[in-house]
Amino acid sequence: MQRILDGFLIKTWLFLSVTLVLTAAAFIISHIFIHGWSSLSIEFLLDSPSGMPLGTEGGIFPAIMGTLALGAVSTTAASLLGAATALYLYLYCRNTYINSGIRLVIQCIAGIPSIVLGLFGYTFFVVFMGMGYSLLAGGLTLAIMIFPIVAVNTEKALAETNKEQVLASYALGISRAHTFFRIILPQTKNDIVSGILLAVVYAMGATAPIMLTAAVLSASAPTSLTRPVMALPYHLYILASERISVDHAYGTALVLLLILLGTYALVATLFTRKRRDNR
Amino acid sequence: MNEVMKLKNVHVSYGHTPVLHDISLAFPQKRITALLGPSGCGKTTLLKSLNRLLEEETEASVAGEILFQGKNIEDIPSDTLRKKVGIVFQVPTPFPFTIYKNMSYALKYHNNAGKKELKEIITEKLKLTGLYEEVKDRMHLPASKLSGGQQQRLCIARSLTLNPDLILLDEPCSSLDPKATARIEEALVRLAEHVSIIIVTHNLGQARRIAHHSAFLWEGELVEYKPTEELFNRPENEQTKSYLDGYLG
Amino acid sequence: MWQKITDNIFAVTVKGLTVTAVFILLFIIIFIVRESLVVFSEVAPLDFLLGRDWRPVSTPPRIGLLPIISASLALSGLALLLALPAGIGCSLFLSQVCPEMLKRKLRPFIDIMAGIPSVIYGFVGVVVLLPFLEQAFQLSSGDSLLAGGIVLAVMILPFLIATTTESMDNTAGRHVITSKSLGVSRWYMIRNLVLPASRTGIVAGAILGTARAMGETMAVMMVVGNSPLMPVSIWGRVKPIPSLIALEMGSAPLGTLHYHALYGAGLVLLLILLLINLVFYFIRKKIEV
Repeated sequence: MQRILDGFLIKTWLFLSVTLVLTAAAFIISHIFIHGWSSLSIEFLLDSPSGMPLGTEGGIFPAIMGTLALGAVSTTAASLLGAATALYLYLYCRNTYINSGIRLVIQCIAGIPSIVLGLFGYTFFVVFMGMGYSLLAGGLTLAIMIFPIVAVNTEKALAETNKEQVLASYALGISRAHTFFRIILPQTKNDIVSGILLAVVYAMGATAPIMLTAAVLSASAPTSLTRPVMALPYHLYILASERISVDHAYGTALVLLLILLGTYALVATLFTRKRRDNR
Repeated sequence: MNEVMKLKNVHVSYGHTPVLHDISLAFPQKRITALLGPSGCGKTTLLKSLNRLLEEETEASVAGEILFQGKNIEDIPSDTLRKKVGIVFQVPTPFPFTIYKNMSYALKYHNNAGKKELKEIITEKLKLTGLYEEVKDRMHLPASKLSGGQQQRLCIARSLTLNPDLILLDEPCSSLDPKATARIEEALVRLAEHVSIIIVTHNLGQARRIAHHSAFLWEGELVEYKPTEELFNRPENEQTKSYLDGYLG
Repeated sequence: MWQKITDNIFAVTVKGLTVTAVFILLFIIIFIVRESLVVFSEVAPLDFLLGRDWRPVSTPPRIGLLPIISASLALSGLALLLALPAGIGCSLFLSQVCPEMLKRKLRPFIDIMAGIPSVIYGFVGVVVLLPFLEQAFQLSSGDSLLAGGIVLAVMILPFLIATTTESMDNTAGRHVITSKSLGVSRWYMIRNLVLPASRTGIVAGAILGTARAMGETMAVMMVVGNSPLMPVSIWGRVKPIPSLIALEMGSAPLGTLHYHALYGAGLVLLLILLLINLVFYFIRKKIEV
């Protein structure tokens, strides 16, 4: 009897848990879709914000462009440095101390909450370096945030390389650089690219690092690195917390969500395939 | 120069774990020498230390002297050393290219040979391993489509493209069927006229068939080293005897 | 010849970029620590951590982080409390009950949950959760510790589930087959084998989730009221460390005590996270043994 009761209780528990979690996730996404859909129009996507207070009318075009620009700047910086570091660890580093040391530094940065990075970005880039509120300051701050993601994902991708082929190449006296371009890169480039795309997504959705380094309520679409930009997450935050326009907030949230989900879909379809014939 | 490779008091450890103790051994030129011994006795480690491949892989430290054709291998730049000492691994490792590209890969890197010259060298080396007839019409198909035995012969041919003086083979036939094994053994015997060969093998029959000399390793130490027939018929050491008996029953 | 040159250029570029990256990162870490330590020249560490008043711009300035730290801890604790039951339940399902096909469809779903930005969670919290709380409990304003806890709980669920499921698959996996061969029912096995065996893994996941929750900024900031009061009731407003920094960053001129105090708060947050991660690390090690 006891057994059957236990079984029933556990079954119920599991069922409720799964339902709860799935419902929460589905609710959040669908809620935004449902309420934001009506706000989506050509004008919304292509106009700048207007109205009084600013944001109640018009569109969010500069914010869309700003978010994409921030993504581009941060990803370029983070990928160059992050991929290089991962490459160094995989190809050249033979010393366990240096290896662990670099890993430790990467982990430390990964552990810094985004708001503390924002504080650093404000202090160092905006004020101390005199960049002012700018695409560059925001982009660099975001780059720090996503550097660990690029480095770790690239490392993971490199670790999947067929080690025997790499050794066979070295055994023929081929250099690391040549081995990398001919043997390693073709096998891993998809994973490396998808790792970078995931980092871009993370950067584009972040608010805290750009709150005081780049993002403002109103600016034109980004044309230079030294001017402030609008960004979707920040715009959403302002619209929502200052209760400026709930409709436009929904619209902004939806656009942001679409960009992010779209990129995830891209990664899932183009860059992830079942690896069956690696030998 | 009668010895292609000579080891003097060589110790190898991975981190703090010793793997090879005080190995002193001289491999003869243009002969096939077999390295025998139970799993884990250090045969593969010994092999990989000879072309300095060990340093690519692990935290291995090598003490003692290893002389290739009289020169300490530490004093030879590793890419030069590897042009002269080729290696073939246990599991065939063709690159994810066509057969032709597998063969031309190292050639193109080290030399600036013209297309015609490349083709000549590639054909010659494929013939040396007896693979040419089987693949001459398939040179631009992926190497991965070949059978295990063919892939392994391709790997041997690939290592020959650089005209090495010595080839190291690590249990090259362990994943192959007897017919493919026989073919490779044939190829090795022919090759031994031009190239020195050191082969690690579990297959005692193989050692008897093709090796002129055999060395028996046990737990990281060199126990006995003699011409093959002598080792098999008149082993001096207890461990050698029990190893050989264990197999020959 | 050419080969050697390109090989060298490649090597130099890779190594150069790596060195640059490492130096920049070290600089950042040192910078943050340095700017934080300044506050201790004005305020004793104990006063900083345990002081109950946060009024950095009054005269004399009072810099006490206790309500802020307590708020962060309370929020994380509440979030864990709310998330664990459903999280463990979900993990059990995924690990022990769910058929492989369904599992493959569900995994991306959970991963997407983890990828939704903080600000969107906060937004949904503002437009859905707050009005709900106001209606259901007759409150004038839904901004509360409770709202923050709920939002955080939803946000840490995917991480909890991912870590716990993995640990359940690993630890319990070996024993499941033995148990099955003894003819025992699945539910009996879950209750008496899987759960106890995965205890450490669950704790590890919970710790990771706590760390995540403590670092969250936007979602919490939007629903929690942001008054630096001690968290005495779940209906009260609180101000955790990330909100503190985010909201006061702009009004603290460089070099002032307020500014250094914010860095100090950031340092405290970092230290708490470090502590949590160390505990996680040691627990992980214990699992591997």
